Amino acid sequence: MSPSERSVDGANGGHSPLEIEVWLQTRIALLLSVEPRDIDPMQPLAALGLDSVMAVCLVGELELFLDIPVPEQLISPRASIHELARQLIAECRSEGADS
Amino acid sequence: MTTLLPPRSPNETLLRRMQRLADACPDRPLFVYEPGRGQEAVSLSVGATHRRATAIAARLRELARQGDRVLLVQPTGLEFHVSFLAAVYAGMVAVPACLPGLREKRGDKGLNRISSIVSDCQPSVAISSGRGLALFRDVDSDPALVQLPLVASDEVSDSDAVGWREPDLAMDALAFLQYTSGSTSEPKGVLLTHSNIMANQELIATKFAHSADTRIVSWLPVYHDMGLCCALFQGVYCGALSVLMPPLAFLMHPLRWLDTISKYGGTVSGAPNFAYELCVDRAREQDTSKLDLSSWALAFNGSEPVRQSTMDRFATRFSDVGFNRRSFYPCYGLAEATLFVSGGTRGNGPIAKPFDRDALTQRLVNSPKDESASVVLVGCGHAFGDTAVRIVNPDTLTVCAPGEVGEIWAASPSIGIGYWNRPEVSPHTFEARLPGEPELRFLRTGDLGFIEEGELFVAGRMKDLIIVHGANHYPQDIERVAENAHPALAPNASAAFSIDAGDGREQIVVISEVVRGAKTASPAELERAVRSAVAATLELTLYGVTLVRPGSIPRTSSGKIQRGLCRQRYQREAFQDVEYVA
Repeated sequence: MSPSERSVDGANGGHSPLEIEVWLQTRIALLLSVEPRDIDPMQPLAALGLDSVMAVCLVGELELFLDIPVPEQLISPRASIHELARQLIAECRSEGADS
Repeated sequence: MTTLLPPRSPNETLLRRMQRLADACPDRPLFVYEPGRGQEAVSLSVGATHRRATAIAARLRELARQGDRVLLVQPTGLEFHVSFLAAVYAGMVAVPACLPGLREKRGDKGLNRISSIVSDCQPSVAISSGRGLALFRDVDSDPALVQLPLVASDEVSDSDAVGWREPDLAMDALAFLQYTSGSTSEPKGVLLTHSNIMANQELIATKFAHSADTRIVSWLPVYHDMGLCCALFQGVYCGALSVLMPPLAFLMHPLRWLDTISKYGGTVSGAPNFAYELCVDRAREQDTSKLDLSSWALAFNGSEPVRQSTMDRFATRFSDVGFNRRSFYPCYGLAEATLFVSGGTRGNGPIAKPFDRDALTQRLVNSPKDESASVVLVGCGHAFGDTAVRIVNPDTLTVCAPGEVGEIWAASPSIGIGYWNRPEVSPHTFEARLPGEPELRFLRTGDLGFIEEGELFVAGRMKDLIIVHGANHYPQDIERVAENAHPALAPNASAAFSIDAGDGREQIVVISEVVRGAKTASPAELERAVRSAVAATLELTLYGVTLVRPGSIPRTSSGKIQRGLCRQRYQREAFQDVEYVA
C-alpha cells in the first residue's frame, strides 16, 4: 500500500482515499441509475452527467460521511472523484498538523 | 403585531420607504447573513444599510447617469442587498445576475449568461465585490465585462455618502430588469417599475400578514424573483428582519435551512417544491430532534409544480418538531408579474383535489372516474386586491366556460411593462386584452390552468418549458446540446421533455435518433456523451437517455418534433432502444 492509500487518523474517522472514491462512485452510480464500474473516477463530475445542484448535494453528503468540511473550491462539477478524494485527505492532514 | 410604518402612500418607492425606516428606527437589525461553514453571522441595521446604499449610490452617479443600467454581480452575502438599494438610490436600473461558480472558465454557462445579459441590456456600470471582482478585472474574462466601469462595493467608504443627491423618482420609471432563467441563448429581461415592486410587496405583505415582528428566513438566490422579494423587498417594505443563508449551504446540507429557522424563530420562509423534498430525503439519516419549527407560520411553496405528496411527507416527517401542515402556503407567481399573483388564506393549509387525468389533457375539468385515472392537483389560492385572473381559450382569446382548462391571464399593477428590447414579443405577452374588459391589460402567463370553486389550479404549460430546481429550461436548448455531443447522433432529431418520475420531482429525458450507418459508437458511449455534454453545458442531470433508430421520433406533418407524444411513448416504454448502431 502506498503512503497515500493508507488511512489517515483523526477527524475523517480513518477513511482512505480509495474508500472515499468507492463511496463517491457508488453514490453517483445510484443517482444516475448505472453500475458503479461505469463511473470513471478520473472524469469531472459534470462529465459523468451530474449538474451543479447534484454535485453540491453530493459533496454535502460526503461531508456528513467524513465528518469534515470540504473546501469550497472543491465543490464544483469540475472536480473528479479522484481529485476530491486526494484533496480531502490532504486537507485532513493539514488540519491534523495544525492542532 | 408591530407596525413601524403606516401603509404605503401611492408615490412611495423603496428609497422613500428606507428613508422613513431609517428615521423611525435606525438601530433596528434589518439583515442577518449566516454564512455557515463555521463562519460568524454578519448583520446590518436599518441605519447601516441606508448609509452603505447612499455611499454606493454616490459612487455610481460619478460613473453613470440616472436611468442607466447597473449590472449587479455579487457573491452571496449582504453586498447584493446594499448594492441593489444603491441602484435605486442612484435612480438607476438594477440588473441582477448570478456570479459564475468558482472554477468556471470562459465559454461555461455562468459566464456566457452574464455576457449575453450584458450584450442585451448594455449596462453603463457594474457593481461587484470580493471574488466577483475578478470577472471585471481578469484578462481572461469577457472583454465586454472588463471594459465596464466598475464600483467595488466593499471598497466604498460610508463617507462617500456626502456626494449623494436624492433623485426624483417617478413611480412609472424602470427600477430593475429581472432576467428570466429561460433559453440560454436569448435571455429576456422583464421591465419592472417602482410602482410594480411596491404594488407586489403590498400584495405579499397583506396576504402573508407580515408585520415588523415577522422574521424572514431565506436561502433563495437573490438574483431570482422569489429570493429578491423574500429576502430584500419584504424586509424593507415591512421593516422586518431577514435572515439569509447562501444557496450553497442549503444545497449541501438542506437541514441547515430548518436549523436557521429554529435558531431565529423564523415566521416565514419558503422555496420551490424540490427544497422540501431534499429536506425529507436528508432527514432519513439525520437526527432532527433539536429542531423547533413551531414559529414557522407560513411555508410558501411556488415557482415549480406544488406536489401534495411532498407536503404530506414533509409535514409527517417534521410534525414532531412543531411543523404545522396548515403553515404550507402554495402560491402562484412569475417574474413577469414581479413575483406574486395568487395565494390562499394564511393558516388554512393547502387545498388538494383529484381530477380526471385524461379529461385534463382534453382541457376539461372532471372528477376522476376511478383512482387510477386521477391526478391530484394542489390549488394556488385566489387572486385578490386589484389582481384579476382569467382562464382564457388560447385559440379564440375569449374567457373559458367553467369546467374548461385554458391559459392563465393576469392583470394587476404588479405586471411588468414588457421585455427589454423585445418589441416583437412584448405586446403579445404583456398587453393582451379581453372582450368586455377593455380597461384591463393582461399578462399571458403561458401556463394552463382552471378555477374550481374560486381556487386557481395550474394544470401544465402551453410551451414545452421544463422546470428543474425552480429554473426554466427550454427543450430546444437541451436537444441541440444533446445531438451535438457525438457525431453518431442525428441533427434535429432529438426530443427533450420532462416526466414525473414518481418521487414528485420533475426529471428530464432525452430521446435521440442515431445516424444511419454510424458504426463506431456503442449505445453506452453515446449515452455518456449526451449526459456529459448536457451536464457540462447546461448544468442539468438527465434522468433518462434513450437512443432510437432514425425516424422513430414522432413529428407533425410540418416536421416539428412532438414532445408530448414522445413523453407518452416513453412512459409506456414504447420506444425500442437501439442495441447496436447500424
